Amino acid sequence: MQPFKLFLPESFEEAIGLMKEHGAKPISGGTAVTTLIKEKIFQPTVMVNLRKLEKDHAFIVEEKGQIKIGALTTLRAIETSDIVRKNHPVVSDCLSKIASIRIRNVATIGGNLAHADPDLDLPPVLAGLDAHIDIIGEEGERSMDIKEFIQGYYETDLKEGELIKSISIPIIPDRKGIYLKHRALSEADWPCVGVAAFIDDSPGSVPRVFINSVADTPIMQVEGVEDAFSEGITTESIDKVGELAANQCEPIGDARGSVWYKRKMAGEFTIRALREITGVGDSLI
Amino acid sequence: MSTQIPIIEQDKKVEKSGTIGRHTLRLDGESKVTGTVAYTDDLPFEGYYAEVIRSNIPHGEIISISTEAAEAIPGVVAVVTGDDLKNADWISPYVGPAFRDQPVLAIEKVRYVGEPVAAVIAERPDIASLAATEVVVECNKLRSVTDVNRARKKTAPILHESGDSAAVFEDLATVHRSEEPNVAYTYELKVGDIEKGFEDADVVLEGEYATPMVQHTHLEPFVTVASYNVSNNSFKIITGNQTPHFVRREIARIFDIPSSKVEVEVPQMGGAFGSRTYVRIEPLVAALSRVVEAPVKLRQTSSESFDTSVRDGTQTRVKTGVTNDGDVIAQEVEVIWDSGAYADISPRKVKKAGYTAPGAYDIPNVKVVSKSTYTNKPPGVAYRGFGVAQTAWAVESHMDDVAKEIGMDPVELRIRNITQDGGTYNGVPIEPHGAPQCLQAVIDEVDWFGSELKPEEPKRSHIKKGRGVAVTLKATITPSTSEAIVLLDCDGSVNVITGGTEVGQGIITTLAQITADGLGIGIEYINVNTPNTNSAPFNTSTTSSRSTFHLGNAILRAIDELKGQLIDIVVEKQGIESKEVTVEGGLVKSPLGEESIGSVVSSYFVGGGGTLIGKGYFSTEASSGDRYASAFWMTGATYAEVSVDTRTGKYTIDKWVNSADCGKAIDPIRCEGQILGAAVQALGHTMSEEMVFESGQQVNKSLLDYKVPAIGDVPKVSKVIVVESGDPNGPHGAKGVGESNTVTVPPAIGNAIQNACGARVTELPITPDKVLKAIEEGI
Ligand SMILES: Cc1cc2nc3c(=O)[nH]c(=O)nc-3n(C[C@H](O)[C@H](O)[C@H](O)COP(=O)(O)OP(=O)(O)OC[C@H]3O[C@@H](n4cnc5c(N)ncnc54)[C@H](O)[C@@H]3O)c2cc1C
Repeated sequence: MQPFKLFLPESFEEAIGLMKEHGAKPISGGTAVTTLIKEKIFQPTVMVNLRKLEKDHAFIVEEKGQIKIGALTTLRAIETSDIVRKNHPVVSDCLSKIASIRIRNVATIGGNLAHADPDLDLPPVLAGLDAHIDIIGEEGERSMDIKEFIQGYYETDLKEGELIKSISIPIIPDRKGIYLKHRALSEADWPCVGVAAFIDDSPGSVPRVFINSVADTPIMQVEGVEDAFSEGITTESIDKVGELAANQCEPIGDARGSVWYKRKMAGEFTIRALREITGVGDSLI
Repeated sequence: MSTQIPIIEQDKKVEKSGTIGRHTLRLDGESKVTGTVAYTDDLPFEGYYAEVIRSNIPHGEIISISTEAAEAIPGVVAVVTGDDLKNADWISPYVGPAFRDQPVLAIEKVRYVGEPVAAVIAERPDIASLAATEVVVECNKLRSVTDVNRARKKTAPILHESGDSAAVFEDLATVHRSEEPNVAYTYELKVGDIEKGFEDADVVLEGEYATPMVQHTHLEPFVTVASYNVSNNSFKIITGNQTPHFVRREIARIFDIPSSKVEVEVPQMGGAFGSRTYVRIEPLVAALSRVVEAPVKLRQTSSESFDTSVRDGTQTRVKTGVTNDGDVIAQEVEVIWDSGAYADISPRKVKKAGYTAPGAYDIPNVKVVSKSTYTNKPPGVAYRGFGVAQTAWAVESHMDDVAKEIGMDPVELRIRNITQDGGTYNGVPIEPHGAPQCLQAVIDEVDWFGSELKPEEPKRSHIKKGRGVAVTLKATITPSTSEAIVLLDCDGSVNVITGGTEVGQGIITTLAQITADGLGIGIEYINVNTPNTNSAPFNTSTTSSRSTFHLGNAILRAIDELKGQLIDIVVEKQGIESKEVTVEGGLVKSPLGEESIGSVVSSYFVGGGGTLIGKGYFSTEASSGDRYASAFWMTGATYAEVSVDTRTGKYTIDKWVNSADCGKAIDPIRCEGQILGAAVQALGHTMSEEMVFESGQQVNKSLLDYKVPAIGDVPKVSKVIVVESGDPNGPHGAKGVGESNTVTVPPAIGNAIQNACGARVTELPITPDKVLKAIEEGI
């Protein structure tokens, strides 16, 4: 590893200034970025460490019908938060399946979402909860839906000099969700395919399905679900949505599974997740 | 003269230890748990750092290597290439335990992606690493071959024109290069009349099975420090290596200096599993140190371990002739080994694993053909199980296929054909080995014949349950030598010096237990060294699960010699007959009284101290005639119970039982650790481990993508059975126990999956993808 200069700003403003001045990238927990450095994929000369922002930006609060989480909050803190567990157990559950406790103890939510790896577990779950990303930059602050924020393979809507400041998850008491993580190689591995499905407890609500690891973003939303369920939710129509999921995804074959397999699993876990949240058909998990 | 011999104060603490068979806390345990143990890289070091430049093509002729840009970087001391070594008059730059086919740095040709072609030496590691990116290697690409079947075709590119035999080891003295293209060595075994055996059989079944290249993934990467001393043309090498005496011999040979001028020190190691055998990076680091006449350290990353040493892949064809009653009367096994670009120890592996390729079964007609093949991939070396894991994957899977074909219970088929303890094997008598006891232990534990698995309720009919078993028989390295020196100080404490290395297996504690018991003193009085070849006597290797058996025997002999000296001293002092004197419980006892061993030593020497020295040599004999020699046999069995999700191909291991015969457990808990550790390592081979190559490039060359098992993968219901059959030649009846279950786990799980859902995956690892495909294709 080549040595690089590390700045330790105390505020977002200072961090943004340093990033601009040195054309530098930020580092939070460092779990993603250091592996890229060690693999020599990324060779920085200057980095801006956000660790000292933890003081003010590692928090989880309930305000205005939302859960607001500071960018420097660790995944483990979110996983074990009562506020999160009470309102959105699906988030706690999803986090408990990411990497290991050691990683979750240092990895931050800001770093996780900015990383935008198509295999990330959390984004499909946050998509189903209509979470917003709060961004801060020189020009001020803006907020956007996570589905627009993550744009492609390791790509987000963040402009140069912008940082994630916090995320906001609406509290939606009648929304029911599930995240199914299918691992192919080891229980401590990234997903082969992960499926998040949500439904609202209101008449005529149509489930939504988001899948990671099968496209260039971790949020592939299955389309045509409304049509498929137009005659009602039955095991047959659930199977049909499974087929839509399998057909719509564009996985890359790797050690976790061939294209054939990942496609099949996208379909299978869509069926499983939908059976769970709708209560239609026998459970397959 | 008083007949009352005073016992010195200190010795009151000495008590009869009797620790054989009892759990003893590891002497190195605390330092490892608290992270204070010093591995090679943790030792104080002052000197230069090296970084290796590696080939990025699988096969090519080196046209030029430009080093100027790297040399111009401030802090760079030298850049060394294969040509520099080839042209130097101070080194013969080829190494290898069987054939000297491997250059210290690539010379003229590169033969695999990742092969070292040059090295930068610099004042700081980051400078070395930066400079390494400035070295430009220009190659003329040659056709490459990564598949063992294509490699053996006449049209295939040839990796090695010639290969000198190293002639270091007796069992490899007659090993010659094969005539077949790219075949390093062919081993053949013929027992009985194979053709007639197949004619007499009621059913003949054939199958093909494969294993990929995998890596040892020891957590401590390769680190070596070499210091060349120009004033007396000598080397000091500190390295994590399982064969320090071979390193000494090889370094002495390539630099043409006496072996006494090569000091090899081996600190504790963070795992090895066969990867650190013979020489790895030591010759390179020694050569670099010779170039700059200063200490040089090379510390590789764990990704570079994949470039350095791997386990051979295999393709195996098994053909079995069986009667309707289940007597296996003929078996033909052809194993083609993907040994990578250099032979290393492959000839021995191919021979030994070839000999036991027919598994643990006594079959009257056998034919084995076992071929080590060169391909443009990293070199295959020793790996826990030494090839038997690969052959057993084939034969133990095949045994279940045979059982299915003739409609017999697979365990019944095994019991019917297993070689008896002290029966015959490959047509010749075999010493007691414990294979039937290991198999019996697991089937008794689960009541195989008296119980059935309860299927899932109809609502969960997509989950299918199954169970499977596998058993193994494996030889150990033979002939070999171990020596020990036991130093008894006048305070009654003892230093044990051997060439045995601590790779994490606990050998230090085991040897201390054997010594404590032998002298009847507490283990707290004993120190067991980590080796330094300047003082440690010869030891062939810390491999093949041989250390407890061989070093233990050498220590027992050293203790006998020591006791003889103690008795002689007392006999002389007291003027009595030696048969009246005994050494027990840390005391020398005679009719005139008893004296602690320490005070006997102290009374013998003057000048403030003295050391009594016992030495013990232990060697085993080579095979002769028809008889296949193995100092002892390793045996074990695994039972696995699985649930297969037939809609995803994913399986969980609901329960497993692993047994292995250790002869006699010097420490039962450490034996369990070895058995379970082997099993968990093999869980990786079963579920996930595979070095994936695309056009000769390994695409998952990092622990991020190459998945080893995590704690969550280990079956929650687990039983380990330590079988103690009592080896007639082992110290206290003990023998090696570290490998059997790396062999038996994959086929036991594969058999359980087949039993559950009919799917037979023939190629490791058994991924959900392959299981689902097999289910859908009805295989
Ligand atoms: C061994 C291992 C296993 C893993 N397994 C899983 C898994 O199973 N599932 C899964 O989903 N993930 C997994 N991960 C990924 C893990 O979730 C991410 O590494 C982690 O969430 C990143 O957070 P961090 O704070 O460490 O980010 P960092 O490494 O600090 O940063 C990551 C990226 O985000 C940028 N960044 C950091 N903070 C901000 C900010 N506030 N605003 C804008 N940009 C920012 C950085 O510049 C960098 O590009 C694994 C990681 C490891 C190392």
